[in-house]
Amino acid sequence: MRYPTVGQPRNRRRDLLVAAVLAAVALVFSAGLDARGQMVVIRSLRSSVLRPFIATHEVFESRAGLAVRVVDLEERADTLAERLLESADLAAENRQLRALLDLPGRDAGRFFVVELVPGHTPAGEPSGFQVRTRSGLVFDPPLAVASPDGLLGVVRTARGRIGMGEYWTHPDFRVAVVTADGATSGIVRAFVDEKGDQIMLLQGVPFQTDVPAGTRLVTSGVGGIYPRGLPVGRVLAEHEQQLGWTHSFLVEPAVRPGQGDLVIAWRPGSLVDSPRVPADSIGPPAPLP
Amino acid sequence: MNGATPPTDLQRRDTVVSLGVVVLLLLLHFLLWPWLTGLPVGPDLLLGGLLLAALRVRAGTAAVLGFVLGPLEAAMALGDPGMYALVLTLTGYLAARSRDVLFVDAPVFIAVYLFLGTWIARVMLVLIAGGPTGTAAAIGWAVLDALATAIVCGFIDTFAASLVRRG
Repeated sequence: MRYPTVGQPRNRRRDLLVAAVLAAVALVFSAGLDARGQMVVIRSLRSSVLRPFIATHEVFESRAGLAVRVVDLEERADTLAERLLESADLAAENRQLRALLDLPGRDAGRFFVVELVPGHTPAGEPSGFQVRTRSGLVFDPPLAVASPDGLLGVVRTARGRIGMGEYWTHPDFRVAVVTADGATSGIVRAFVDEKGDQIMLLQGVPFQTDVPAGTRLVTSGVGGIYPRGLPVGRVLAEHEQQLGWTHSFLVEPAVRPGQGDLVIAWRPGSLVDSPRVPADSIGPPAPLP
Repeated sequence: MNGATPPTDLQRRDTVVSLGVVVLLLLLHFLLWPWLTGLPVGPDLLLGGLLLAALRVRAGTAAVLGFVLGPLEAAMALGDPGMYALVLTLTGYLAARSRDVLFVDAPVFIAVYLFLGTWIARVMLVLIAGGPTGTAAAIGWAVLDALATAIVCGFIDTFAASLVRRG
């Protein structure tokens, strides 16, 4: 027999007591810490005990697949050059129109590329992520995080170049959205459908307004955390949930956690465009400070 | 004096080698984290290491080991440290106690023990620490992960045992 007998009756009682105390401590620890507290613990462990492992991951990751990344980056650079030329024309047109309307210059905030720290939870869908900036920029949360296909989530806490955030799958996540034609607005949050799949729910749509299936939803920019116009998802169907004089719609997300490797954060500018307001409520333009 | 027979040389050697294997599995788990979690199906070396450790140490010690490893795993997975600590504490304790009741010194039993232990721990993680979504799918995938864990960790344990027996 390779294994020593260690289960004497007296030891068993002591072992049970130890396990029960530890389980109780773990339970209290879990119940007593909110998401922010958990992030502090996680960050402490990652920057101390786990630091050698994470540093090793970073070294391997930076050296792995360099050739493939170069080809990929060349393709992206070509696409970006084309888009840059197109947007230059658009920007000039925007400046002209704003000048005609006597509006101040538009500061639409700044997008910058960030890196998702690799790895994900083995239990269910991930709801949190960690990101770091590539350049010397530091995070100043809250910051919207998106991939080229659409909104991913928000960075909630940060220290220097490392930020921790929540995907849109997080139960606390909310974003103000508007249909692509600007006709209907609402709030989108995570939702689990009947099959157990993680999708989104559009809430707060006025009762008399219908949003047809397939309608594209984008961020409205209200609140200033998310830029206006980021794709959020497409309406699937009306949901039975009704709150007061509003109704809800199921939404297929534009992007899911783990899709795509290019992640971009958005830092609001000093002047964030406000959503469209009724014409009769517009007064004379206020002087800028 | 608790009346237990003192361990033989073979048992002592086995304990040292086996605990070395456990430490190696835990180091590999954290070192290979991005690759192991990036695969659709992969061995859970942390649970494998904890379960193998639970075969050699007292149930209380296995619970302490689980309690320590839980927050570390949560830090890698960005999960709830308390819940991970709870699940791994229970896993360590119950695995060590199951040895007293069920254990047979045979490679097939080790594989079955690793498979069931990993699967039950994964299901607990999904149900307690996981999100509200993808539960059924996660439990299904956990079967394959448990199988991979049983094969990889069972092979390593059997190999270490053969080294011990060869002297």
